[in-house]
Amino acid sequence: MKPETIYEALVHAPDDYLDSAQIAMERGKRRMGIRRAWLLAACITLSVAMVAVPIASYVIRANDPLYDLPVMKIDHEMLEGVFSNAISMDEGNSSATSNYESIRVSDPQYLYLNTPPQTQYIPLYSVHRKSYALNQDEFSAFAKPRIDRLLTAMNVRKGNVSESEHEYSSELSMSVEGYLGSSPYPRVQINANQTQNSHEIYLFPCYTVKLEGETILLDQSKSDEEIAQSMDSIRKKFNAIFDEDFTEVSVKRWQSSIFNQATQQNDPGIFYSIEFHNRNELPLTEGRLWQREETDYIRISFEITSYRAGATAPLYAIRSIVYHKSRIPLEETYQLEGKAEMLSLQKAEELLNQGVCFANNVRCPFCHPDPLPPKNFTDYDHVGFSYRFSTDFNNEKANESIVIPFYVFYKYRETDENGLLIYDYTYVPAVEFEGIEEYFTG
Amino acid sequence: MEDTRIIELYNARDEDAIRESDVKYGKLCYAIAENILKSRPDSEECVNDTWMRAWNVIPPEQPLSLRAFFSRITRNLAFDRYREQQSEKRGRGELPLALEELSECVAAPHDTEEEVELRALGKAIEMFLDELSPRERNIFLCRYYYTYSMGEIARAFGIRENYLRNLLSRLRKKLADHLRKEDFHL
Repeated sequence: MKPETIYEALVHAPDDYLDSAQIAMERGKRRMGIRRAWLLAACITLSVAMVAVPIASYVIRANDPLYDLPVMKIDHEMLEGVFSNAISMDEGNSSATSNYESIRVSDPQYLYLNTPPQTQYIPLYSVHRKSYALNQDEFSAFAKPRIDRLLTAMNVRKGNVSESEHEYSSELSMSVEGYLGSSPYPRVQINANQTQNSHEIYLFPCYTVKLEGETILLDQSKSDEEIAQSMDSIRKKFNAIFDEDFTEVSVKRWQSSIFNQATQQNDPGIFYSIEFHNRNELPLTEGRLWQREETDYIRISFEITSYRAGATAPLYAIRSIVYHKSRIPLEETYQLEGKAEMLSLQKAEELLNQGVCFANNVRCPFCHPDPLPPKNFTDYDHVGFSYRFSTDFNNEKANESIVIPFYVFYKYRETDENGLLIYDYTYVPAVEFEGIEEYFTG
Repeated sequence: MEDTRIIELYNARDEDAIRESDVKYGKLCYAIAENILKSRPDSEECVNDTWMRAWNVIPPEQPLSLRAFFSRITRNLAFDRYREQQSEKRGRGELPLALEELSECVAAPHDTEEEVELRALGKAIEMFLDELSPRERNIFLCRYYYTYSMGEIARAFGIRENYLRNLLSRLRKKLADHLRKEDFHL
């Protein structure tokens, strides 16, 4: 059979299919015309463009009556695997929830809230975590040139190399010789991870790192934007080392109070993540940096704390440097599936007050042996927005799941001894769910 | 003007039917022809031939969708002209690429054509299209029926070209599997 035969036979496709395809094409062309005009206007307000554009781009598309995604029926089974924690509605205390997490920040701006979109329909994505078998040649081709360039840039030599194989990953671990930093045991680790379909290069613990003679430094007194600008030279150096072209720099900071065994006091722990990446064109936004599975990245994690050395003076250190590279195109993992009717904020608040709330994965029983006291989120202080997806790979359904949007409600609790503001936060689905009552009462 | 009104003009042998057809569907037909032929004069000629063909078959044909009806005529005319150009070694445009992609669905394209009933194959392809999601179907037809370029399709559907290539590759494989199941010899 010739390919021309199939081409000719397509003429017998039903009229409505042919019409639908052409209409979709025409709508798409019209939509691109609207979007270009909008993006020109968005560039004027550059200070919020980094956060606003990914959200607003799908706000416009979802509001467009010509957007031809199917409307999806969302049922409660789709919630399984997204979060591990959900509690039954407490009839005796209907405005409280014991399902929340906490965060400490020096200022509410460091909650890094995403504004909930104002739209009737919101897109949903599916995640298809196909496992592609590890390939030794591919691994070697990825690792060798990058490691060679990294060690040269750091002015160190390769040390002992050990290999290990696990069920879904293989790992090379390499010590480093000639390292002049203060870390007692610097190590370079290269992973090929089948489940995550990624290659990763880790440096840890680092404490201080020089690339081509330039020390990676962070000035805490600077704003996030100033810190990002100061990292531009390091970004370019890492791009050259890892053969990447990351153009964006994101800065996130968070704080915690950490008990110092030596002084028997709670010390402030300040953590920064500096991330080099490209603009994420998928409108998946997170309030935390470490959920960034949707882009490749280079991440430098800093900590400023005194608890490690047990000293009274804060220790400034790079904890790790991670280069994450997906083995498959991002679009093969995240696919736009359809749209669902977005829950209004008012309805979400009603669910919140009923205790229809989710938190993150099961809390560590050693860190948190006692159940959380019920908390009333009625007079919450801030609301954000976040897509969530399953990261529990022990769940059979996790490899095929739906990415679901949530409202994130924050309520101030108290200020700790280091002056950090403690916020409790919980998640409420931002889309209509059938059977959600049964999910909580079943 | 509504399709039903345009068809009434054809039935009444009113030459305004052609003018109205051109106003409503001229751009679409031109785009279909141009995707295949990449030549302005050839494409314009195909569009004109489309109206002539339509004038000759309506009545008795009473198409339910003029969009689909005209696009079929223009596509067939353009494809015939493309084959003529190929025999004269003048072929160009998106069609050679689209055909090359579709050759993945056939194990071994033969120089001498096997005897295939186009209608039976068309039915099988219709069943394949039924199984796709609306979005996949639209994308598949935009590429292999309307012969739009990868770039145009990616932009219109808001996806990256890389993703589009991977998606079309998966759909072609699905088509090949489907045709084998329907006992078509590829």
